[in-house]
Amino acid sequence: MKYGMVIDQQKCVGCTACVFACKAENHTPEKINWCDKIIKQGGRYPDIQFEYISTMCNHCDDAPCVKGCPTQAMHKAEGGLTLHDPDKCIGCKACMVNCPYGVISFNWEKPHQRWQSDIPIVTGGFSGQSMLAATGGVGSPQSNPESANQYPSIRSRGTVEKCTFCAHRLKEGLNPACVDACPSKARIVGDLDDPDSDVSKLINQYDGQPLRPELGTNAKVFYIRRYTPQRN
Amino acid sequence: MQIQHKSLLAISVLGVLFGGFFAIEEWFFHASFATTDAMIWTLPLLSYIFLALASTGVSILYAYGSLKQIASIEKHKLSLLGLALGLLIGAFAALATEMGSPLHLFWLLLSPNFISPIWWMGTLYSIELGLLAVKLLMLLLDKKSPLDIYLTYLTLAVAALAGLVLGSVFGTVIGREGFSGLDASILTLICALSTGVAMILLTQSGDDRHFYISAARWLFALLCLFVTLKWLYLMRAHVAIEPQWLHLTQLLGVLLAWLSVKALPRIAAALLLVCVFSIEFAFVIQGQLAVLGPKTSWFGSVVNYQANLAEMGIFIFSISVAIIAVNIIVQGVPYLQSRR
Repeated sequence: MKYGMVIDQQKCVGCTACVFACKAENHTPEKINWCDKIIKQGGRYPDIQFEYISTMCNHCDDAPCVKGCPTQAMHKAEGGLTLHDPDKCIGCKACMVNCPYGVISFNWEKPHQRWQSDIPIVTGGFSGQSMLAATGGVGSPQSNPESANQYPSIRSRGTVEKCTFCAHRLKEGLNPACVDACPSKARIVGDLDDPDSDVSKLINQYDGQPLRPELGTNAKVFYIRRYTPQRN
Repeated sequence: MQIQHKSLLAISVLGVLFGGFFAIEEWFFHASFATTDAMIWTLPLLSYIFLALASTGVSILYAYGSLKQIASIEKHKLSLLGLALGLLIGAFAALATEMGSPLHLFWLLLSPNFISPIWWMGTLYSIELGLLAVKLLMLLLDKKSPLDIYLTYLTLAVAALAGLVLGSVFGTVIGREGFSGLDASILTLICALSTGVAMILLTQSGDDRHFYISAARWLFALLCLFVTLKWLYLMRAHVAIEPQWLHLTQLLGVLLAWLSVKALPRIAAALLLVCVFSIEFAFVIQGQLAVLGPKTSWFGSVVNYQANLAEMGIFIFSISVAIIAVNIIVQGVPYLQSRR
């Protein structure tokens, strides 16, 4: 079993629903997006180029972040996923320097500070603390207890974090949150070891390529049907 | 006990207090450095690299000289050991702030990843620290042991490996053109040897410096050649745009240090140290100038970097810790020996 993802560039409309779904699912801190996008624009009018590339951790088979991590905090896990153990992270940032895709983020400041505030967001409304008191919850009112089974929803300062492919959802047989949130079904997740899976078929049919294939990282996120309109 | 270099020590204590403020701020309160998800490793890491490589160079020269029984090295064993050890302590002080906690230096050893260059670098420098401490203890207790020669061989091997592995931390980064390649390890080893001999020339006086001056001439020339080749290579390569005047200034500085080391060894050594610091600084920063992937905090594909006050504080802190440590060892050991 080896999880992989296909992103259909002609179906992707750049709505960033995946970015928001990931944020809600994984309670990522304010300035950190596990699921993100690269926007490329260039050329001169009328020959302009624009490309929107939805991106996240590529869960590389030959992951430079795993090789570089001195403490095994970044490691390969079941299903070929590249996961991170924050308890082992010493904040050396080697994974960030090594990642050729720039998708690992660092908690420079203490994350999730606002939920501890007693000041309501709007006058007369709830503050983080009063909402917790009202609901009898723990941690942050925004955190997702299901994802917290796999990864702490309140992170420490001085550690890195990145996309887990929603490992907690995959375990339950569900799709990653970004896949389910995509309105145009541009994202498909599946087993790359199974030649009959949708992902394998799509990669074969459209010659799916990962980002920066020349580096030989064997990334597991493939892009098909890159949007290259031709003028007649 | 007559304390020497009182003014330097007093300035260093002030440096520890000034930089210590930022170290404590970084360890216990909040992030104070100019680091971002694009500019990940900055001046605090560079302070570590500079001091660790200088210590490596001194260790190599000390171990080589001991094995070859070179008179000027045998005579200054204590000051060389003190210099190597003190510089390494200063390096670890800088690294402890860069990694957010001094405890992280210990956690590194407990969960090893044997294919990680950072793990090997940390482990080798820890071993180096231990070996130098043992050598110092033997000197303090005036113990002669048949194991001494093996310890010296080990010190030489570990120091050389540590210098090379430090370069491989950058050289194995396949995704960044400015870092990737074997030349990173060659650069760190040559920088280590050059700064090591420059540190010795700067801290020692007397007429028995022929070995160091001769070593300096060879090593400065080697550095000059390597920097020239690297500059010529980078001029034709596709890397981030860099100002050429910086490379030229570095090159001219090293050249001048090489030409003047025989006549003005201390001035040449000081010039060389400034040049090597600049070379290492440019190396660490230029590999990060092109942003990889998506980031939310900025827009653009090329960033620039200027150290902030906190980072300069850490640089001063680590240099001050090194100066104090060197002086404690070099002045403290004879005092303890006299008490025995």
